[in-house]
Amino acid sequence: MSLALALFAAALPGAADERLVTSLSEDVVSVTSSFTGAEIVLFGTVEPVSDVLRADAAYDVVVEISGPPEDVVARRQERFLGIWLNRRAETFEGVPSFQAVLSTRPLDAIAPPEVLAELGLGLESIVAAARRGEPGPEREAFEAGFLHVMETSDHYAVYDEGVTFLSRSLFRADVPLPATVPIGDYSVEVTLFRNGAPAAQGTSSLHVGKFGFEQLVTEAAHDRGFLYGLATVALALFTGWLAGVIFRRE
Amino acid sequence: MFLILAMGAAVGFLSGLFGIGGGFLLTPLLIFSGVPSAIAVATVSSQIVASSTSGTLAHMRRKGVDLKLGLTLFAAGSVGSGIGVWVYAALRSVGQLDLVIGVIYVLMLSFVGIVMLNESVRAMVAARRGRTPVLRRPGTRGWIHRLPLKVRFRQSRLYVSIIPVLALGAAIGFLGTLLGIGGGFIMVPALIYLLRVPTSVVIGTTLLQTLGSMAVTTILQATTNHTVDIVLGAMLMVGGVVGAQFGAQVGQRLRGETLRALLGLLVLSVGLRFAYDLVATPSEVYSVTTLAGAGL
Repeated sequence: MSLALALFAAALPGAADERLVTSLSEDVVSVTSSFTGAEIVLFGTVEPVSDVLRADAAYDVVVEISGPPEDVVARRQERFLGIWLNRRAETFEGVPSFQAVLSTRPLDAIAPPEVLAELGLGLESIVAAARRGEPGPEREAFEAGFLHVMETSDHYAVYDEGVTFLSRSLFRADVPLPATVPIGDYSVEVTLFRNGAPAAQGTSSLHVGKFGFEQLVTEAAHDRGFLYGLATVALALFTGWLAGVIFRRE
Repeated sequence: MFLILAMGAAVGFLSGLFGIGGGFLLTPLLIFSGVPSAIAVATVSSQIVASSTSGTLAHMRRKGVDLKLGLTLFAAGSVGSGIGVWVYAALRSVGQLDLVIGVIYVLMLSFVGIVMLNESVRAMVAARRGRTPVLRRPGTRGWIHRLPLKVRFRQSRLYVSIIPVLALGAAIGFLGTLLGIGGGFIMVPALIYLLRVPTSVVIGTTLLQTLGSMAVTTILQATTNHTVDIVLGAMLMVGGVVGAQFGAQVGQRLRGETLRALLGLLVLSVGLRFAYDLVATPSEVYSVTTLAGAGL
């Protein structure tokens, strides 16, 4: 198990009282054919920049793990002449292919919506960032539909009590990664709130990749489609020929 | 994974039992069990290559293949497959691939199912009354045989215009690519009734054409749409070729009409299931895909 250590000085203006030190249990997750999901653990401490932590400070932590961004299209089925078919579509550009939001309490209890929006925290921020101009009611319906599909398919997840403080300054987050987790480079963003205001923030990275046979197959399918097709046909011809030989009745 | 091997074996068993390729049952089964239509259609093409290989080789040993006719159909089929792959990609990017696959399956399977049921029930009734069913004789030379550009296919003892041969090959290649079927159940009657190919070479020639155009389809799908899943395909191939052997053994012990009636019922029920999926209110009306139409 490799340790990814990250040190963050307080990056937010007017809040240089604390800094965050975090560590991921793994910085590489390997997806194999027997992969049924994984759990990575994030530990962090809140450290005073000078002196000691203030006694009147109430801390909250939000951890956001985001997969590689992609452009997607959401479609809506409507009944037409008795059958259900895709009628309207809306595109969402640059949305993360995966996102898990973990926090000590529900996000809306930690900070007001404007603050969360400014920091880009929470699933709502994903659709807000993909907007072009003010959304109409149709776009808003699509945004809700998009988030619902992404949540039910395990691409997006919210864990309201996913971060726990083990002591006054030490916290821990268990991040579940489902079996279908997309591969690519992930960012892990940790935000510290003091009394409802952002106090420190820091980012580290995580790589989810396929290795060995899975990597070979996936890369071949996408980068060498022609050879991959030839190999599939060769396998089929061989299987068919072999079956003919084995089961041949004289 | 066990489920997929079992499905491959079950469909292989049915294809051996009924003497059909089975693509038009395997593709729906995969779709119903949750494999995205796009993946199911493209991957089943590779399974059809495997299942038609052993059949083609067996018929070749018996000289039951008209090579010239088979290769002509295959060449036309490749053009049809090429158009099919292009249409498939276009439909996928506008989000209508599932709908088109569903609608064509409903129409095709209900039609084939009803025709088979009707024919086999009549035959059973006639057999019970002790009469031999009157087979409709293929009519005398129709308009197809008056078309120009005639070509001789020696082994089929056939002298016919190349136009219907090319059209038939291209149509089957196109449909096969779009639907993930070999098309044998359309090709066999078309060769017998439209082109008057002797029954002794029909099956072998059809298998050769299926083998060729499905191999081309697999390569085209893998190159352009990246929807062939080699692991899924391998499991279907193994299950399919093994199941087919047992199916063929059981099939020899059943009466022809009974077999055709059973197959007709099966085909019809798969068609009805597709129809139900088209009209039933979906549990989720929204779906999210990449811009090219692939699942996330």
